[in-house]
Amino acid sequence: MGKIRIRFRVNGQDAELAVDPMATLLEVLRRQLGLTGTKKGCDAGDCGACTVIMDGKAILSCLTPAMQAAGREIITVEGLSCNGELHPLQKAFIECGAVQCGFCTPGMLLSAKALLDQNPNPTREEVRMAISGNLCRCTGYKKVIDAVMLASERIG
Amino acid sequence: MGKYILAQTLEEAFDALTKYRDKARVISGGTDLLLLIKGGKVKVDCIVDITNITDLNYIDYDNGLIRLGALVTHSEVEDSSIIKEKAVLLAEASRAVGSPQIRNRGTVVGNVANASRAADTPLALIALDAKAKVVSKKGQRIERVEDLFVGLGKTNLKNEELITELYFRGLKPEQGGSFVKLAKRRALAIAGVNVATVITVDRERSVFSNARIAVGCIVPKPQRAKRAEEALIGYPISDESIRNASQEAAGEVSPRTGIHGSAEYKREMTKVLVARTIKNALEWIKWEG
Amino acid sequence: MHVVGKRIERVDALKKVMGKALFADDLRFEGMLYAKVLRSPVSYAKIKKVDASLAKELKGVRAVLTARDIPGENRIGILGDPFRDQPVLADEKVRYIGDPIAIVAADSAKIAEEALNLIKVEYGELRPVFDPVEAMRQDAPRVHEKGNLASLRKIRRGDVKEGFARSDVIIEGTYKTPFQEHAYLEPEAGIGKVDENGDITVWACTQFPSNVKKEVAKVLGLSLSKVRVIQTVTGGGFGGKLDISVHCHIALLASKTGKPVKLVYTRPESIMASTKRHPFIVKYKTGATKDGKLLAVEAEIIGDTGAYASYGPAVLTRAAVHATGPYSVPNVKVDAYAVYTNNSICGAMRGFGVTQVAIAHEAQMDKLAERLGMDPIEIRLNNALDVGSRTATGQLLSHSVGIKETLQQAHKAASEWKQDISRTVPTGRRGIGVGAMWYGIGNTGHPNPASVFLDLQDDGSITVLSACAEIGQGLDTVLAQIAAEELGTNIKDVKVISGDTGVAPECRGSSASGQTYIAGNALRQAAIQARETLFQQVAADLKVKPEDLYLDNQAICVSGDSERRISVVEAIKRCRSLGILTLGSGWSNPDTTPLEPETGQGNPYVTYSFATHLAQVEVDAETGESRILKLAAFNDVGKAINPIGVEAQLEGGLSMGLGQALMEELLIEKGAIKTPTLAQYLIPTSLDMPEDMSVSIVEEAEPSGPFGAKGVGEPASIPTTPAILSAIYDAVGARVTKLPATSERVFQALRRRPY
Repeated sequence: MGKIRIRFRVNGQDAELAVDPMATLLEVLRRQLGLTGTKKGCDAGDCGACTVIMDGKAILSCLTPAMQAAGREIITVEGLSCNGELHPLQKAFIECGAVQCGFCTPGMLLSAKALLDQNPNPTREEVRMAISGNLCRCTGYKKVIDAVMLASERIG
Repeated sequence: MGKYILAQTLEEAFDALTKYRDKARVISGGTDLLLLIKGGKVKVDCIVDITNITDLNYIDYDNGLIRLGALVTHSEVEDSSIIKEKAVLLAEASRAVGSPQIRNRGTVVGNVANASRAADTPLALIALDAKAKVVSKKGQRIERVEDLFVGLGKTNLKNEELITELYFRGLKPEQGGSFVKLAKRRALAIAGVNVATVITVDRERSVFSNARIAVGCIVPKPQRAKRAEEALIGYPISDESIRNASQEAAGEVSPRTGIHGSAEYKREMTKVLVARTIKNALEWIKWEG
Repeated sequence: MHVVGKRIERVDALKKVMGKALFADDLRFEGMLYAKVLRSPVSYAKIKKVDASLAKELKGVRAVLTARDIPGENRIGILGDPFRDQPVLADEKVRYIGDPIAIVAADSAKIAEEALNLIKVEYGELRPVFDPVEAMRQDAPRVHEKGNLASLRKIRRGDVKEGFARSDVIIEGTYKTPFQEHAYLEPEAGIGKVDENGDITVWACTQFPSNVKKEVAKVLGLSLSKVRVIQTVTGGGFGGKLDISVHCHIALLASKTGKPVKLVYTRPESIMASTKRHPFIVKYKTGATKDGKLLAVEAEIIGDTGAYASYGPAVLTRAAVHATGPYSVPNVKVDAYAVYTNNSICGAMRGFGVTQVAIAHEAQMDKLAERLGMDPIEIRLNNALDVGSRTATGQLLSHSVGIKETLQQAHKAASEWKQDISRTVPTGRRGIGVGAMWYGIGNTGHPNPASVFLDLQDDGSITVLSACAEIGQGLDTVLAQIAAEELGTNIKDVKVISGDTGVAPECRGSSASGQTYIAGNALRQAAIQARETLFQQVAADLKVKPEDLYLDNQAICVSGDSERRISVVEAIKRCRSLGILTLGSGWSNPDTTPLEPETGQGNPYVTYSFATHLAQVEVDAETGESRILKLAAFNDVGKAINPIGVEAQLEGGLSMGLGQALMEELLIEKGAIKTPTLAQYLIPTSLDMPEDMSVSIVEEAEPSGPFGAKGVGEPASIPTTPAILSAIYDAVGARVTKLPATSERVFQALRRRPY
């Protein structure tokens, strides 16, 4: 059939899948793994809704070949909470009112997590820069930045 | 269904490129190529993925020479202290690319190989007089980055060739550089006009001893503003010289009206941005005049 | 009050942060097929022939449908007759690039896409018209049989001739706004499913489930009882998801194939096929005394409504009603035309015509202030509407007019801002600008009822049932708060099931900033009904009057006798023992009057929201680039049911207003969209928004609103654009009258300055 088996880790779990070599990581996550938390907003790298973390870096899954996930560690929004306990970012987003329609939220959370994992005490400017590739039409970004700052205080 | 080769060595990559010829494309970050494939602009039978060739991921500085491997991403350039100190305009250009997610994956070499009209980093490379190591099964050639571009979206790279490295001399104490981009918003933006400049000063005689100015976006391929450079070289470091040079630059370009602005505006902005990059570059070397 | 007016966490935030919220494309059904739409590549043509035979034969294709396969009526239109002019599948003609002609259902989206390429359509191209002014001429190509004028709204009050004659100063201006795109993050998507009875269920994103139900029933020739619409979590709407998008197509294909059918728009398809903001040409003339008192306003508004009416006539009507701005003007003449062209369809978009006229009326006020040497906020205060004012439609405002308060707060903030005269670039110049607006809540002089059911359950917990749509604005949370407040319940024990026409009757679309007010009132009725049932029984048992009872901390108490109380749960138990259910239903429609056809006189809304926004900008005089340094919103919302929700809406509104001021224009050339991606149609990123963004909630209680509330959705973004344009003028003396104020337009305006 032409599909290729690849192995990678998603949200701390091993995954082994036969993927279409031309498939994007976004398609594989949503369709084959049923992880629909990662969203398709434009399928062209323009909106950031498909952001996931790969080997610690925030990337656009719609522009990443699934094949490039081979041997790597992927984190999606479903992997943020641990044993039913929300990640501080998730809690902060709720508390600060940073969620409206919710479509950009998974991507925002992951861009924020990638930042905090590298830079646990960012300035507001740094947070603003970290989410500059995630479009939001609802919030004006302010409460999102408030939430990330609050989460960084709590984690640190 | 196409083929996908996760090359572990350069040899593997070359084999696949030779086999599939113009139906094969190289992928590193994928931020350009996947868009082209999705948009139907490129039909690919074989994707040759070089991201596992870890030897290609390096930023080296040795004796004034900076070498970037093919897998170096914009993020890595943006954060590199070597680049920030010795080739600041390239760090500025990388920082201006797309968004954090795109910078995490897009490579500087990839930007060159794809010859995108609006690309930011090639301009900085041209201003730095960077050279590319173009390698194939048959051997290697060295090409000036500016000579690689032959037209809109086109380089003179043959199908079986890969750029494995870019290299250039870091800025010397009497050199300054700057990259400026004018776009319609502050992130995820394609430039309307972008400019990269490196100037060399002769402190004793208070003149510009050299200048390299690269203008992008409004022209099908990145272009050296040679008349602007000539209006600086040998001339005093003064507002007047900068004005003349930027005027010349505006005269050298042939912009077209499009969704990023009218031809007239782009011409005007070329003038403004060339002047700004020269001034920024002078500030870099702390020129007090 | 224990929950209304408090900062409450959204009831739908948890599932969204966990990635568990189910948007339409996240749903999957067994045996599901995938649909694609064949859209016209030409602007205006007769359809001579459609041959789908090859497409039908392609392996994996399960159905190909064209106009002739539509069992019911092949016409939709959000305003209903006489504006039901849009075919679900084009029959005789296509009228815009993107007009759907055929739909395909196949085993995969890829196969469906291939099938599209196999459908052969023969077009007889017709001469199109793309300019609305041209379209208004007698000799222009007719987009529709009846001509290109979709509607004309007139406002006539007093005598403008006389008003201008008495004016000491007259200001004129022409303002042009572009097509704009909603750019909600979620592209349209939905799934249609048919059951063994032929009943259809549509799961889809939408702002208006009840309308979807009606249109699907009509198009499929089914009775309303056989159609159910379940709104999926909707990733933004902003007016763009009020109209039918995927809904009839998936219903048709599901009905034909007997299988669930999913349709997901690509982003370019969404931009091409969904409605846009009407581009306006506004010619405005203002007359005033030398003391700055407005005497006359005359405006001609031309709105390009594109190939089909959608909300066109309503948008132009609202624009006409609001054209004066939030000011008292004794003599008014407005003519507002909605014109057909072969451009993309224009419909509702946040602001609904007021966004566009506000740009005009605020620029006019600024020009007037400058001409008279008056402070721009002072002159607005001197003319601002107040309780006792009459509007241009002759409506007497009797309550809840907060415009002056918002202006005063803005004035104070502006004077504090003026102290900062630094700059970030050598060629930067700073300026401060103001923008004010008013916005009538609910449909303009037209019915738009909402209904809600409420069940007060055995254990005291509550279920609220409605067909109203939560689209990200926070409606579910507001409804939960209102229910909890009325029944003294903990908000954690209130469940809102919304957007489902299968659980509740008709509800208006989430539009016109009206759900808090209208659905909120409907819910209050339902809650009060349930409470009264409870109180009746308790009163009878305690031998007091129901009026003597009140709720306190989950108990029903007797006034003046705190010893006598019975817990709500006990009271419910008591009712149940007698077979009494404690439930309620409510429906509400604002008490408005339609506008007189020749004069526009009437009471089109029960209440208006008012706002003033302030902007500080630094313009780079060499490039024309604007950097927004500060934004402040002062909005009169009547009552903030959930202050954090109102803040969130305001901050989001500031970003949309900024986008519209500086970067948003959908370029259409000869009917073809030149900016069909989010890389080309630009909305603000986080780096485009200033760090200094403040929002201020003003509460001039609306007596007829739930707890005094009015509305905020659109008032959040309308005044921002004029404020920014005003600030740019203040900074560099460049007035941009064709939007958006891109750096090039500011640059050109700078060059045109007389000095």
